[in-house]
Amino acid sequence: MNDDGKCMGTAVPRLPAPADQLRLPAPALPQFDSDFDVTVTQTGINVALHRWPKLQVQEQKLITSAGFIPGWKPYWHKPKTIQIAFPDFIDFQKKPEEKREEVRSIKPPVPQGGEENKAVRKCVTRIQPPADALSMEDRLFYILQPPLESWLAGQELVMPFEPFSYQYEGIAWLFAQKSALLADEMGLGKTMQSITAIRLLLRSGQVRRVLLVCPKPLIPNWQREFRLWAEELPVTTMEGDANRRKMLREMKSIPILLTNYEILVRDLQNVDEEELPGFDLVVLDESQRIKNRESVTSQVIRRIPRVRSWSLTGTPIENRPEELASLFEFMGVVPARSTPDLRQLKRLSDLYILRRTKEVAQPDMPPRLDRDAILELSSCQKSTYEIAEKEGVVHLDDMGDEITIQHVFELVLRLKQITNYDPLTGESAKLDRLIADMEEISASGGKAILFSQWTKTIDWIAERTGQFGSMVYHGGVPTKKREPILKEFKENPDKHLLLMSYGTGAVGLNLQFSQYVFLYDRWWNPAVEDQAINRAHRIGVKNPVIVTRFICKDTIEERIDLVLRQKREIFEKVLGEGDVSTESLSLNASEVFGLFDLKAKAGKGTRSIGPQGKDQEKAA
Amino acid sequence: MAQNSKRPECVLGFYQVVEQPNGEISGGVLITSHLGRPIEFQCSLPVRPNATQRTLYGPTLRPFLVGELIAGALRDRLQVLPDVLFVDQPDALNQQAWRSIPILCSTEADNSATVQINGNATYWIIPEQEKDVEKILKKMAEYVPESADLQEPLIRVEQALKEAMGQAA
Repeated sequence: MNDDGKCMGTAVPRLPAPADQLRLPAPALPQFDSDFDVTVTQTGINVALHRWPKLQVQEQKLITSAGFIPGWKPYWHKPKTIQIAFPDFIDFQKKPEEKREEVRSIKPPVPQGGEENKAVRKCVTRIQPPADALSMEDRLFYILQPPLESWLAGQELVMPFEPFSYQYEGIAWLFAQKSALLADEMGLGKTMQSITAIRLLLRSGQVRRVLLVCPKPLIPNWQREFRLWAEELPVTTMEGDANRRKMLREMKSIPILLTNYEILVRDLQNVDEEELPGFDLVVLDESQRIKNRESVTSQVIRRIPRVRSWSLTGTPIENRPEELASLFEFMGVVPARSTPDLRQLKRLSDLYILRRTKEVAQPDMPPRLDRDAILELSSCQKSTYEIAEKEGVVHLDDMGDEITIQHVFELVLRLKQITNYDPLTGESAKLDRLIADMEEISASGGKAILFSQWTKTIDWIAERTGQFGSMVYHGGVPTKKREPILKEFKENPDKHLLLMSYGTGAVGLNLQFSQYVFLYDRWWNPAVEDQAINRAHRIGVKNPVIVTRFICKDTIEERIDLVLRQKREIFEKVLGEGDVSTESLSLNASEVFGLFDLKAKAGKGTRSIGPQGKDQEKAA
Repeated sequence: MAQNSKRPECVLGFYQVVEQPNGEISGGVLITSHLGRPIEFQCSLPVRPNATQRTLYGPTLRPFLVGELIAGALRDRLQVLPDVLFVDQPDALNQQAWRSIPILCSTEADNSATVQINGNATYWIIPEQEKDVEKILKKMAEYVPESADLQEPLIRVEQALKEAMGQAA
């Protein structure tokens, strides 16, 4: 600044820059006159006291690094993860390759490329976690299993035939259930579904030891079905003497142990709790055998330590809904000795029972055509029948208060036998009709099954139907000979008639190559008759099945038929679902007394008079 | 009866993510044998980015979460590493987390090359992995059945994630 208050620049001599410092020379500042007045006050108050500031230009060192800069680095926690590890797959030693012409591998589902094909991608059956699986690991285990169609598509597991979609659903359901009652109507393939579910459980390491219990006559059937549907699985049948059976049930390396109810009860009845063999899965075929929870069979089976409990039956209720409680107790879904009411039973049924009827599962299945053959007794037969009935009723009346249901029952059986054939003359209206029908059937190359309650009647018919290549299959035939009989009946074109008893032939057999079924005499419960008929009318049947019931006019058979029909109608009205095969249609004591216009004893009015087991055929 | 604990000839991985309406993302990877049988499954708990992260990453947030953060966590925990990884979201086609494991994406992704499997299915791959992909395709042709549906396991993973997220909620 000069004295006039003009700002002036003054040149200051430049200092030499040290060698280690970057210095920029100060710009030369020529002297110049400022064009504005500057008055600087020292105190800010008195303008008289002031001095002129000295203006200098100096060199300054430049900053070459940024130094501290405030910053923010994003930090992410690694997400937590959940792991599910799957058990290793179990390999079973494959059996030597055999040429099996009748077996074909199913075609696996083919993934289709392109948008159009995506729309028609084949439906897949996924395994859903069961309702009672609560832990996330358990639920994810099932969700992450491959769809059954690809699992069973012949890549790891070969299936001889492609299952139907409802069978896939059944397999998926069983696979996930710890407690299950598969109650599909007869003929829908409960055996196959169970075997495949067992196979998947074994192969995926979910179970190691399986106990399969079935009625004795069905052992060969299960063996055959295992060979067909799971040929790699070794199935050991509990047989031999007591020591051998003990050794078998204690061997932990046996994956599937097959036994029958009688042997199981005999072997385990007196075994201490701690010595009972444990199983990962216990399967009861025809599980109505344990419908009475107080029976020895039920008690012994419930004691077996197990993780999973499956029941298989087409008739979960034969007589009373309470029978379900016994099955549920075995399945471990109700406490011991509990008595769930109908509402609770319904809720449990929704959770633990899978039941499909043929109408739902197989709408295209050829129909079953029922016809009643009302026959007139022959003259001699009629005479014998009338005498027997008259004498029998008189005898019962004479007994007065001493009469029991057993006495009436004996008369019923005797009269029913006479309607089959006259024991004195050998005349039989039913046989005449049978021969007439069979001539037509055999001429067309067809095959028929005939059911009777009595082995004696079956043998009697066999002697008179040799021209049709008749074969006998009942409780009197040794078990080892039964399979060859069925095989020959199936394969030999000269064998047109198979004579079976209800007790031995009614359950578990696959005879769908037969187009005709004759019910030579009536069983006490139509549910059992249905089981018998369904040996022929089942999955795989190609033609309609014609069922003929022989009923002799004006005899006890007609009266029984009438009572059974009335009961069926009542059940249909009550249930309203048309599914009456599961309900009791058996005659009770009052109804049997009613057949002869006799009064039932007090307190016995609702007791079923049908034989307790179906193997009472020998009693005749 | 013998337990088969050896590593399958060809191990497949299937990585899928599920996004919830609230913005949470969880991912899962299913390891299967060449026949589709499950060997191991890992899934993450849901990840929810905060406002700062959303601002910071902008449009690259989802690719980062799916392709790096969740994928990295899952890979680190896997006990059985797959020979190949199948994904169906372009964001998952990211080499950073999976390193040398070839990734095949069934939907189109930017900056990617394409390969054909079984002559009819197109997959998008990272160009740098082309040689690795070629190798694994040869291996797959040897072990994986032609009929195998390589999209199906991703549906399983998706269902499992929904189940897990539903339970966690």
